[in-house]
Amino acid sequence: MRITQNMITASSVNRLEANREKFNRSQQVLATGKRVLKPSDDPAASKSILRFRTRVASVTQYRDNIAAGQSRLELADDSLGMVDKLLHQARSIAVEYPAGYDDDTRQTAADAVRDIYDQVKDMANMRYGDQYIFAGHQSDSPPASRDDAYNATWSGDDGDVRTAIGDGIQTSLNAGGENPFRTDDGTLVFDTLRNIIDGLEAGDPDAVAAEVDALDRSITQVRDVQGKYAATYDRLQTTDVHLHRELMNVETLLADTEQADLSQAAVELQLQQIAYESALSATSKIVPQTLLDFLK
Amino acid sequence: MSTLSSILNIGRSALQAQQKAITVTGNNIANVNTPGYTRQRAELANSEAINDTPGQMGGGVKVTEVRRLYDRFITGEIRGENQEMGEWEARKQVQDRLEVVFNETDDDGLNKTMNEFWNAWQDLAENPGGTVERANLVSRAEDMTDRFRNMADDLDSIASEVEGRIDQAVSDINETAQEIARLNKDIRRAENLGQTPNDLKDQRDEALKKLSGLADVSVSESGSVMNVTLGGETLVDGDTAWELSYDGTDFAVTDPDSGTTTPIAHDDITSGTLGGLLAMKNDVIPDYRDRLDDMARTVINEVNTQHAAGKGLDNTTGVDFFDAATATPAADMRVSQSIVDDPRLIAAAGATENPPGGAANAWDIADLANQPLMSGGTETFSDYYTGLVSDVGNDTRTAGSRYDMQRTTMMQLEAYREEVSGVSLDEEMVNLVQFQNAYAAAAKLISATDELLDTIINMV
Repeated sequence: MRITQNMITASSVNRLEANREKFNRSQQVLATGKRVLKPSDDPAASKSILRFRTRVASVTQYRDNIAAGQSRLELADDSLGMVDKLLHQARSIAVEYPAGYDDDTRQTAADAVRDIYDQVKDMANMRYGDQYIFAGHQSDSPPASRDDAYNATWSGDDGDVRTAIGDGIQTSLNAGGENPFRTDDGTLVFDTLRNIIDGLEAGDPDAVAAEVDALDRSITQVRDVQGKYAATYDRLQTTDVHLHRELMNVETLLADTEQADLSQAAVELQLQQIAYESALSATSKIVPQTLLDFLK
Repeated sequence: MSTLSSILNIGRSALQAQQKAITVTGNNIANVNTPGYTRQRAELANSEAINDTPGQMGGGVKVTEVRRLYDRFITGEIRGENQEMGEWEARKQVQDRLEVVFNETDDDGLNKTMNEFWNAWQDLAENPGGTVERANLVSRAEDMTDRFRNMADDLDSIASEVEGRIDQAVSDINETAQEIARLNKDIRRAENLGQTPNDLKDQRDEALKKLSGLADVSVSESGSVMNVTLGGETLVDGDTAWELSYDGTDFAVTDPDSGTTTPIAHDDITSGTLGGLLAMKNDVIPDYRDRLDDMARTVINEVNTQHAAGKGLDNTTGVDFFDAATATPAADMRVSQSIVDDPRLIAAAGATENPPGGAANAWDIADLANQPLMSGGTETFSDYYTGLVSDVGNDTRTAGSRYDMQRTTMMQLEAYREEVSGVSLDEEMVNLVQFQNAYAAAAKLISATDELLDTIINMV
């Protein structure tokens, strides 16, 4: 075979370019820690990477939703726990009164129930962020208010507050909008408390005693709703455990697909450096030589 | 009878022949780096002998021709492969640009902004009355529409660059065709005068090679001229080059003498730089662009339909979230101005719910991300876009590997051509030494004859 100067030059340049390219690619892989730097590096992998990333974004959002939902439920549970305690205090007063209070005691008891009334009202007007959690969809204004005569107005509705915990899966954060402060027969707990206050003020033990049953129904209602919140909380907890596991899996898959094996990349870089340097040194020896060097 | 003067003649023919051979060697050395140069060799033969007793005596040496050492088949093959290489080189260059538009690996592409957009709807649904959530949703929506518009703009500007390169290729083709026609004319004239126009033929081969890289031409040899057709129509006919023109869609060649114009459909040009550019312009870029538009249109329509069904904070219904889809929805995608001006109009509440706490509509819109709304109801937006990115990656990879393959083939053919036609300095050096020695020896012959003549003259 005839070998000409041009052939030597062309093949040297080509080899050097090829080595330089591989060397450069290894450097990029090492510098970024990523195996797939652009879609054409591995089209199938880049498809998986985008899918995994989208899944990570959705799962992270669902976990954020759950965390927010749980905070809201914890706050609601605390509030209802407090309401339960307050209503029990009111119940003791209502039960003890007919046994005979003097006027002062009766007045003190009436004031105590007024306090309870206002504290329950504060609990009903509890806010999570800027939302009134017991107001249903009327979440921008306090649902419970009263006039000077302790006549209550409930301005909330029974709107269902939901959150998403999976693709197309939603769960209610307020027991489907069920109002803990209103019993099934439509009685507001505030009306019951007002009747007790009125009974105490009027010195009418029978009227007060008649409200104990209504108060019990209110307590049951609060506990029912509290129980539903707890069930929702548990469901969120279970889902979160699943989502957490999924997130770990997807992130592992993402890393496996996207990230370079650094030790392997380092070894490759070393090998390519050797290859590149050898090509350079071979080129420097071959290219300049011709017969001219040896003719006198 | 041989005479002393015939010896002088032999010496003279030797000096001339070796000198010519040295000239040819020198020319080879001078053109060692000239692309397309074919090495030449002075063919030596002995001159006619002179009748003499006891037999014919040699009459010296002569150069019968200066021959190009080349393989015409490899030249044809190089032209064929060069067409393929021109095509894939053009496709690879454009694909590399396109890939950047769809490069999502840095995690700041359309896929991410779309994820953030859908998640912003969930954040809003968590707190449907929140002004911060509303403002955030508008920002995320604008990020997404910006990204759609940028991508559409980038695709458009790449398409118009390709258009410019098509014009450039057309003018390169015309220039090269004219050069070939001129060389045809010069070569024919030289051959008619009995000359061997080796260098002109090298130039013509090089021009034909360049032309074949530009478009799918076919070359036929007819006597001393090379005729060229492009897409089946005449481009070079003897010493006339037809003018190729491009109207933005199709092509035509015009005979400069008669003014006759013959159309060439763009489908008939499939390889060479021009073929590659046409494939990118007519098939690849419009395909990407259509798919992007398809996605933008569906996002706009689905979100708008769902959004119009819900209620804003002031109970308004029937408001569009995005401006209605135009004929080029990706390039014109925008959040509707009324929403930007007043995020309270964002319809988070369902039709039967009370604002501000109702969020059913926001959840429904967020859930569009999970619905199979693309590809005839089989793929989600994310699946669809991921498929597009992966196709762009595949196309880019194919173009790159086809180009590399073609380049390797070309290098092998060029190496083979070099093996036959290339200049080897070592070989030329050996030849130079050989001819130089022969020249010196011939000179010695003349000086010896001179001494012989001297002897005779001094005898007188």
